[in-house]
Amino acid sequence: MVKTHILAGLLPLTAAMAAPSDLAQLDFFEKKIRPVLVEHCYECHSATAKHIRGGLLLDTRDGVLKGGDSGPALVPGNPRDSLLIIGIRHEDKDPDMAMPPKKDRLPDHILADFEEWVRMGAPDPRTGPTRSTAWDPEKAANHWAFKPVVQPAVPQVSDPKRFIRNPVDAFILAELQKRQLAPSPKASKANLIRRVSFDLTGLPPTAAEVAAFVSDSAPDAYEKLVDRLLASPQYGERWARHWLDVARYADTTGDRVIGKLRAPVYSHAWTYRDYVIRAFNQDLPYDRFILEQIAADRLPETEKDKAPLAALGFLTLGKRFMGNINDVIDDRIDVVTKGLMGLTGACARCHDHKFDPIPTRDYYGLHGIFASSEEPDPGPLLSEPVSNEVHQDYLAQRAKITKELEEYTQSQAARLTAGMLEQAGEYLLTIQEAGNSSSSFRNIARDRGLKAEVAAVWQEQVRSAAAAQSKRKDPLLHLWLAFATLKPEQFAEKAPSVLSELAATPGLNPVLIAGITQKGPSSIRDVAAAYTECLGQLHKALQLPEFVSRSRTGIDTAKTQSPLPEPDMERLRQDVFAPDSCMIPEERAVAKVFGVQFSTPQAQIRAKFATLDQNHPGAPQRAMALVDRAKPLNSPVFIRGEPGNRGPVVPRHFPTLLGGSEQEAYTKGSGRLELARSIASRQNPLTARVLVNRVWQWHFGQGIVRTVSDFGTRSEAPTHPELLDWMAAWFMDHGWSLKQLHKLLVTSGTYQQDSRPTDRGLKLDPTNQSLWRANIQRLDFEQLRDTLLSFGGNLDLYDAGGAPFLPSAGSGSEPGSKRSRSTQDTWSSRNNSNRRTVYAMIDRASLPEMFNTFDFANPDISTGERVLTTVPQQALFLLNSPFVGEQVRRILKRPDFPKDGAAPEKVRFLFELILQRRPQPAELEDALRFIDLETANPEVQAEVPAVEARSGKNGPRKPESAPILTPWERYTQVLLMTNELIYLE
Amino acid sequence: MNPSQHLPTLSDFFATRRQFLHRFGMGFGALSLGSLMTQSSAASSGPVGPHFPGKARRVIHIFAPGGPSHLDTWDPKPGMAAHAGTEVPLIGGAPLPPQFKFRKSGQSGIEVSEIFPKIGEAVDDIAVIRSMNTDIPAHDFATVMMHTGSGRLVKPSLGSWSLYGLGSENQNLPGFVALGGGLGGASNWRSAFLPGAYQGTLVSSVSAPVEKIIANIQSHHASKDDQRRQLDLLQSLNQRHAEQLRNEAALEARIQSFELAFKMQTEAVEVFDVSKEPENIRALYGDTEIGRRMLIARRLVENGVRFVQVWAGSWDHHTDVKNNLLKQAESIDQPVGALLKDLRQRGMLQDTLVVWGGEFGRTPRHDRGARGEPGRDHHHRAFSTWMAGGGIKGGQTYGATDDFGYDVVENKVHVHDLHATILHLLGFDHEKLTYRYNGRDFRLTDVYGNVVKALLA
Repeated sequence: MVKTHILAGLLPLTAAMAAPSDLAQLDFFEKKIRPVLVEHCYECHSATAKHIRGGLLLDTRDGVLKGGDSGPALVPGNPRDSLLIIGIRHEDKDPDMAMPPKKDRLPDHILADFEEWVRMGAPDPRTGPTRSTAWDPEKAANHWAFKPVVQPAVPQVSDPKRFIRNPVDAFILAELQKRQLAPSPKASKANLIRRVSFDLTGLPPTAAEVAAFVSDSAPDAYEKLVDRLLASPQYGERWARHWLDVARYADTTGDRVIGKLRAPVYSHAWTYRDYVIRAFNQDLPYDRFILEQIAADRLPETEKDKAPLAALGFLTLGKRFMGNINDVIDDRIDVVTKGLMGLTGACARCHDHKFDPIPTRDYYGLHGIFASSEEPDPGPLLSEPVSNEVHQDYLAQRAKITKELEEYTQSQAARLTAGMLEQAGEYLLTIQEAGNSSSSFRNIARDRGLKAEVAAVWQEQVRSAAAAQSKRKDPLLHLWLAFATLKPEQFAEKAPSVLSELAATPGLNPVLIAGITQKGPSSIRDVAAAYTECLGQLHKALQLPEFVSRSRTGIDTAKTQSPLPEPDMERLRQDVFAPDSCMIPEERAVAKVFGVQFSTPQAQIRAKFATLDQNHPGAPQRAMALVDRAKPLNSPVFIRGEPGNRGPVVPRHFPTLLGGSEQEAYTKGSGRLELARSIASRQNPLTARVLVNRVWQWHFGQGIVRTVSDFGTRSEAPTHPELLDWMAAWFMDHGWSLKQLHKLLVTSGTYQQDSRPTDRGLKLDPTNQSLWRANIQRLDFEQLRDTLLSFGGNLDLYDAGGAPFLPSAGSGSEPGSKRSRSTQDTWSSRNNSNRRTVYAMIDRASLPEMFNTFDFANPDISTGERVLTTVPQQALFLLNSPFVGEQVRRILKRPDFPKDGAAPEKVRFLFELILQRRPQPAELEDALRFIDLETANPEVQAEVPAVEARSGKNGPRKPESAPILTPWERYTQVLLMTNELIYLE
Repeated sequence: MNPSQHLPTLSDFFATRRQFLHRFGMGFGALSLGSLMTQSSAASSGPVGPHFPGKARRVIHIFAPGGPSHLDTWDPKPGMAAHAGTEVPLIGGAPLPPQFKFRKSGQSGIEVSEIFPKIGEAVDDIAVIRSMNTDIPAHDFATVMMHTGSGRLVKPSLGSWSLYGLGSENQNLPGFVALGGGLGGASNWRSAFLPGAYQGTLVSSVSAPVEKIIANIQSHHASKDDQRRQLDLLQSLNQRHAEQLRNEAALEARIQSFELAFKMQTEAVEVFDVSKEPENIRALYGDTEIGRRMLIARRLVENGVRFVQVWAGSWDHHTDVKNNLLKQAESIDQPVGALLKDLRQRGMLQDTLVVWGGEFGRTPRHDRGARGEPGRDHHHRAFSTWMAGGGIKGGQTYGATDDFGYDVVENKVHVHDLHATILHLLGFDHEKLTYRYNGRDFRLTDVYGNVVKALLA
């Protein structure tokens, strides 16, 4: 193995530099040059600059010669090619390159001095070492997160109240004691089961589960509960969603459909989503999880078991940026560096990272890896399709779309053929006369009263008929081509012999030959006239419509395929519309001439393939995979991020900050597997730290490092640095097992604290950095929606996995309505909006409004933390949405609702269902008063606006009767809106 | 029934709300609809407040999607006709001279295309920038660029930055509204990494019934009185709960959000209801979708909405630029003229910034790829935009293009410069209005942008 020095070859040649050869030159530099540099340039271009601009340092000789993002600042001896001179002369095309910026040009005599200085070889005595990085090297070298993880000793603390349940608590308690705080007492059992159920599964406990847990006095009751929750399939659905935020998961590309061959729908993104759910439920070790997500295709195991290939969706299902490959690669670099290692690596795309030691060459070292990978299309099968009825139906539907596509193409071609038949001779004559000029051709055609687009298509067709003549003589066009070669002055003389030769040639059209003969042609115009007459008659006989420009309606090929009674016409018809006729334009020609008018409807039909593949239960399941290109390549640095502005080529390698400057470059294929191994490594100081911090945040509501996706030098310092390292080491020692990590955290005393504040706590640590109590946490959108569905008894936990369901724009699901926009939409999964929210279709281009309103993660970028907001639109959803109205009604129709019971019994039921506790006497009193008042107060329905009439296929529907909520329903709705429901203690 | 009769528990509640607001050191007016952040990071994500007193307090950005031809609207090139039969320098092709006459208008005598008679009446309030330029002549890219300062990367909208800077003045309405929408979709009004509260609210058609305009704005299962009593019960339950938790700010914010929602049901419905306007005002704007959008834009800013993005027309005229452009001009001339006039007569123009423009301009020659009557292709090197009101020195043109309107020859104004200037008018140093995300302080103008001082009053 050849050791590649990652830095070798990248340093600029400094051979041409001139050391000051004599005192006079030195004197010139000191008097004329240095003072100007100090006064006008150092502010942005020296080691002391606050921000070094353009990566350029002008405070040492090396800095000047090495130059910045745009290359060396000067060429000794050659002022005209020196960027420094061009810049200060304000001669660059780019006004931003005019130096000093935003100021008048330096006086002419100074410009002359600089030119003189460069001309004499830029003598420069400033040989000292220079700060060569945009970032602060000292700060970077000492940054905690870049140092290896070493497991610290668990602190010895006195614990009179027996707070400590595992080592996590010792770290927390030590910090609390340092701040002279004490932990809060243990939360009530009812609060605890609520907290841990929502946390681990995203769902509330049932009343029965609460009762069982509260009455279970066994010392391991809580541990048993945690084990049960971790073992339930709902755990994976909940925690996969956290990961999907990081993986910026979506089911679409974010691009628009028009004119793109690729449909904006990812048919198989969901195979990645299901893979993640499975990985969590099976407790796939996290290091393995990383390997599969970056390089499953390179793992030997996937030769047999294809399932892990779905993991590659982590890289592939990002936004597509209208096909801009460098943006796609940037997105992949971002999700890998930020998502897995908390490094904002994508910052180094255009310039060296400003704060972290990531030079652009490290970015392009990763760029090469992804540029050397490609997506197989179609993606690999995750399993062989079973040839059953459902699969057959899928194949049949696919064939139907294929046929639709063909029919569309053919009908458009037939439309053009028909257009020509109207004035065949005139078109041919125009084509003949225009020769090969195509630019003015359309105008010539238009001037002659012809349709420009028909003419353009026929020009293509005549050209290709001529080219194919030696192989096949078109029964109709060949006649024209034969006459077209005659020179006008010889035409009359030679025409008869051409005609008799043609008559003797087999396969040509006798009707047309007869037509031409009849004219006794003396010029090509007579031949054209014969074409117009014969084919014009055919146009009439077939009753073809007149050609209309820009029409999207083609001609049904059935019309051109039905035989005509008159034998001559029938013979013409057969030759014109024969499958291999040159009179039927090729798809390529149609597409070329018609552009988007032709390809847009085509793309719309093609998009049906994607929808079918995504939704049909018989569709084969595929991975959105990557494979290595046959010839992997290294990428050059793109200076200032511009692909046309190439710097040195960099070997594919791991960022030097982590891999060191003497690492081996990646050489196996694209290098993805090597990259994955470098990340999923015990030696990597970031991977485990970032992950345990993420998990901590998802459990406790705030990270030990608050900036969960940025562990660089600008990150917030960890509140408990030793605990973070201790956990990272523990996590790796325990086989990178997430379930063990969960259990460690949720069984800690820290997690089980009460959330009620104390005076002392609020005073000494108001933001609860030291975790003197449990944070109050709000349910997120998925938890809220799933919970409301479960209260109503509607949540369908069995319809798990597979193609996503379509959430409606407003509410996240429309109750009781089956959508059926087209036949493809009738599959049950797609319509079953009672599935868990994790199975909703995530469309980058149009996320349903309620997803945004409830702070769903932005699917365009890797999201480590959802910033939760409280806005009235959320309240409007709970007050007014039909979805909530429906759940409220369903709650009172639950079979276990004591509908014949006394009012207090009903209230108790509702409290236990919704808030998982019994009502306080005062609450019961309020409830009964409310019900009494509402019942006694026959509110008129008149004030409630009726549901607006929706128009269906069979005309407008009747307005639905306004289903006013009953007093009990109104009461139930109030409970659904309480803070207690949505804020977990 | 008067809802206040059902408020026995609310007096306690109000006291708490005052305490809450007091505790956070803000008057009620400073709280925007979206500024009720529940995160611990609330302190850093609330509106930051202006750096200096801005001349503009609100913005109406009338966006002309598709790229209107600058040569036929705001950048007259009378000399082009004399070049008939020649080629446009650098790019070749036959020049296509301006299709319309220009008239000197107003006291300033600025030349205004004959297709904008009504807007022309307000030209003394308008500063025309003839030297705009952008990066790439593709609709998607340039449109998102115009609204966010970046064509590809996910960045917050100008409106989101404005709201992040100033907050909203009406807690019952969204602080940033997009009327219409178009290519690029939510990319044009999203808050990206800024908190979601600064996201624009899309209202795709103002001709739709109001409940289509704002999701769940009306209840179909309870009357307002029913809801009032429900909310009273809710607040008493919440109150008891909050006491146990020592009135945590997040809980208070959510209590408040229900009251806001309740009021919004009335107020938002009203603001979108143009029938509340007198007949002469409705006639002034005209009874068209665009007319209604302009009128609603005025009603929104009048009611404290900070930023309104109005999408108006379809200006991508590859063919028959003459007739197509005329059609578009006719559709906006009256409504936009009315908006300027109406804002002025209400004394609102002085602190309301109105911006008009597209994502780029159009070529001085025929679009050779298109069929039919001559049109123009996309062109990013030069185009025109105008601004009026809110701190703008009206009655001037700024910058200039060459004889063909192909390239800027004087006082280039890049999109970043336009953004810097708008933020300046709102009272912000565009280099200092930043948000920390992923360890970097991001700003609207990235590392670019210069305030165009000559445009300022």
